[in-house]
Amino acid sequence: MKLSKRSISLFISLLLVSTVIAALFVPASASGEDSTEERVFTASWGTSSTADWGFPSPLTFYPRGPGYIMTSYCFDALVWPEESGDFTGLLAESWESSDDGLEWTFHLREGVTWHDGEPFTADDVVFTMDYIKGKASISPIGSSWYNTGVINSVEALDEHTVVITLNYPYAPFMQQVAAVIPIMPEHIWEDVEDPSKYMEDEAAIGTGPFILEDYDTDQQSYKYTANKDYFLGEPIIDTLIYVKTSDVVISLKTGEVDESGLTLDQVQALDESDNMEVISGPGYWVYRLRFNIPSNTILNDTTVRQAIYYSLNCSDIESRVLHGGGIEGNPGYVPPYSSWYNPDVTQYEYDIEKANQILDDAGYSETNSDGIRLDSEGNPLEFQLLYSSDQQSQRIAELVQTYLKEIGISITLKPGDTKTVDGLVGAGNFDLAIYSHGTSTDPARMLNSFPTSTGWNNSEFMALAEEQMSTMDEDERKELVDKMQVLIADNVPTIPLMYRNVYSATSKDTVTGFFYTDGGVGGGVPTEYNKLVFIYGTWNGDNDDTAEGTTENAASSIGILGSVAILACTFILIRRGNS
Amino acid sequence: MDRKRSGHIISRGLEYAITFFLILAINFFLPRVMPGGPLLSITGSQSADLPVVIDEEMKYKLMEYYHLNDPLHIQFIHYILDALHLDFGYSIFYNVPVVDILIGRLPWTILLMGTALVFSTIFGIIIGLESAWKRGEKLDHALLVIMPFFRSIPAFFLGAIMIFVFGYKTGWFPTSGAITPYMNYSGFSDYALDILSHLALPMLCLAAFEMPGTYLLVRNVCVQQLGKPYVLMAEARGLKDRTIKKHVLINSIVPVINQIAAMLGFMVAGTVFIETVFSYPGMGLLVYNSFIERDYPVLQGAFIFMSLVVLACNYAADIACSYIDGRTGQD
Repeated sequence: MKLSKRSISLFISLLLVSTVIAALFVPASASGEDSTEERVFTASWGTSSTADWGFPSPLTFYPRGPGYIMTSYCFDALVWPEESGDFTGLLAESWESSDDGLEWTFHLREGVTWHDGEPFTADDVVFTMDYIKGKASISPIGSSWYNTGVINSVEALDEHTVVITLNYPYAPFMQQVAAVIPIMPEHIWEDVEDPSKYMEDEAAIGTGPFILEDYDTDQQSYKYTANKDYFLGEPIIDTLIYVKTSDVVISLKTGEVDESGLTLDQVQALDESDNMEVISGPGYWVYRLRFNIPSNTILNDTTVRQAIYYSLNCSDIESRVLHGGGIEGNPGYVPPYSSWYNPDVTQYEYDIEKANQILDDAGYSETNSDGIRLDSEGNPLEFQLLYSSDQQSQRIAELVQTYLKEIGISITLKPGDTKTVDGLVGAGNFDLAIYSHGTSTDPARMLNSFPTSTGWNNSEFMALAEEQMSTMDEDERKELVDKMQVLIADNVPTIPLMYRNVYSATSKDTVTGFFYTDGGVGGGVPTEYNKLVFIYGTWNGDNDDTAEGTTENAASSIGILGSVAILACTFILIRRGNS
Repeated sequence: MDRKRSGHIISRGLEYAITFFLILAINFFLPRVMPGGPLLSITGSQSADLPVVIDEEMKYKLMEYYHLNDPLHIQFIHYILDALHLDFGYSIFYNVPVVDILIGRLPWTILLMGTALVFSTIFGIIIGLESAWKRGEKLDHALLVIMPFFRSIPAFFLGAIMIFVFGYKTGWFPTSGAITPYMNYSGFSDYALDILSHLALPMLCLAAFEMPGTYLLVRNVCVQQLGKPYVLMAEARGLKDRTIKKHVLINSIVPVINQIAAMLGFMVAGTVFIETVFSYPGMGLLVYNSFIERDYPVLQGAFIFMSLVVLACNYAADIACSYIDGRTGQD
């Protein structure tokens, strides 16, 4: 009797609560209908720790690939790479260079306006180059991302013609300068003293295909609306949203996002019913073994490094760590999918005997009771291996340890977070380290930084590096770059263990036409977010945001109802026990 | 007695002030002894997408810009003076004043921690009292097993399971963030519902982590109280269970309040994991990202903010206890 009375009161209170909650969500589903026609595309940068890439303006974005891409939606460069890596004109319609490669003339597109309606002219180009050059010391982006150092002067011949004169012939000018520097409106920036702190709404006004509507650093989200007057044509979507997700695969499956970059493991977690289009591309992302050259006297010996190379089975490491989501390293460092790849370099096929032989010959034939080789002073060959404690690096480090044990070299694993590793390596406080990073696509950036990124100084290599940069003839340049790769393979300043591929999955009901640009965008960022996708791609009907919104609302209401019910039950249980 | 109490409150206040200063100092020195400076994150590092080449002159200018050139003690004095003005400098990563970021993030953490605290406290007390009342019985035994179990599951693991079950499999709750980005809200109730549905999972996760502590304490204190003569007396007088429980609870409340205040510190640590798992845009996630980027100003600002909150709550608990229990101030 008593109990049934309670049940009735529970029933009534649940009913009351659910009515209140139902009342809460009814207007929500009704309001969703306004947006039926809107083509909204939600993307995510995948599993990085942050989705905040800074304010998307030329001198305030966070200076890494994604930051530049977020900016490129609002701002156009003079030219832009297509899927093949060939350049198409954005703000420039055509261009030519003088024979010595010192003078580049750009004929600008007519009738282009900024997002605020002001006309775009040659003066804006002149202004931008001078401005970025002048402000380079204030903004780290200015000096590191835009190579204005090669520019001597910029001059407007008339309203639609600009001549850029270089200090010296610079082979990667188009890829590294013309296709990278975002042209900024003079009328907005002329009085801005400190561009690194200028984040007003106007700071995102460009000529690009998208107009920034919101940048939310707390929620780590971006919202862009289409620039209907874009000179290459109207974008295929109305709204572009970038969000942060806690689990990309789940967010793709639930439709919280329409597209995201993934790892191969994550791609494999998708199945056919998910209706996803998966594309993959060259990642230009290398995992390499770094040596402390020249400080470590043993590792400074080229033959020792060669022996280590022979002892590592790179294809095995790749399959155990990336499970086929990459390719094994190339001794010449340039990955095989690059147009600059030279296959004719010294190869280090996995060969333990050879490795042992080299070490014996180098004077490390004595071993201690553990089978570890001894140096001339009787100390065991024992090195610390530094690595950042992410899953891949951890696995690689363990494999390297196992392989080196085989040839009598003992390895102590020393994990740390990325910054700790960077810091220790920077201070020269290490023996060996596992590094993983993007490598760029142009040899000027990929290879010329070798002395700084490996500690290996070779005058012949440096001379070649200088020369290839100013060699305008493509074939001649290729020859020089080939020679550089031969030198790298012979001297083993670092061991490229493997290159990781990049993957992206897109819901087939939204946009198709994503691709990985040959040579990357923005000077070499390997990404599927080439903004041309949103012009030349296809919108596949609607992904019915209305329905999605309603389901989501209903779903969350059910969830809340459910939890209220659970709470109520717990409560009742306790109350029952009470009496 | 009142005088004694206010004396107690003042002396505790002084202790908290000293604690706060020590926290400020630790805050300053700790990130600086870690390897890997903040410049690495802007000038490129192994994790950057492109190798960024930076020359010495540029580096010097940047160092100067961020005042990294001054001797440590000068930096420290500047830091204390600025902190007193609530000026925590400019974030190296986010490129905006630290206070702006903190003010954007703090409400979310307070919402998350606050609701989790209320939730775990209410249920911890109810269940704890019930468990003590039924000590030795089946329910009590079951609870004594179940509760510590929740505590022993790592928060991020519990979070991942929750995301999978309640976010993906059933689709009841969104799996990340604090709001649905750029949703068109029809009104405030719609907005509130969106926030609540995003809050539910991380809140439950945090509460599940905190509740066992409260539960165990309440149970143990109440079990002690239940053996006392006044309870026997009350039972003998035939008072209702409910009335007896109320008295037991009031007599046990001081250690519970203290425990909750002390727990706040752990809760702050818990939010770092939970916010990271759920991508909840509060201080925890901010601290995590700033640590990865070695963003000193943000880290320091966040720690100071969080310390202030924890200290203030502890102080409030102290004062509350001195009012509830006259003996507190007399020691």
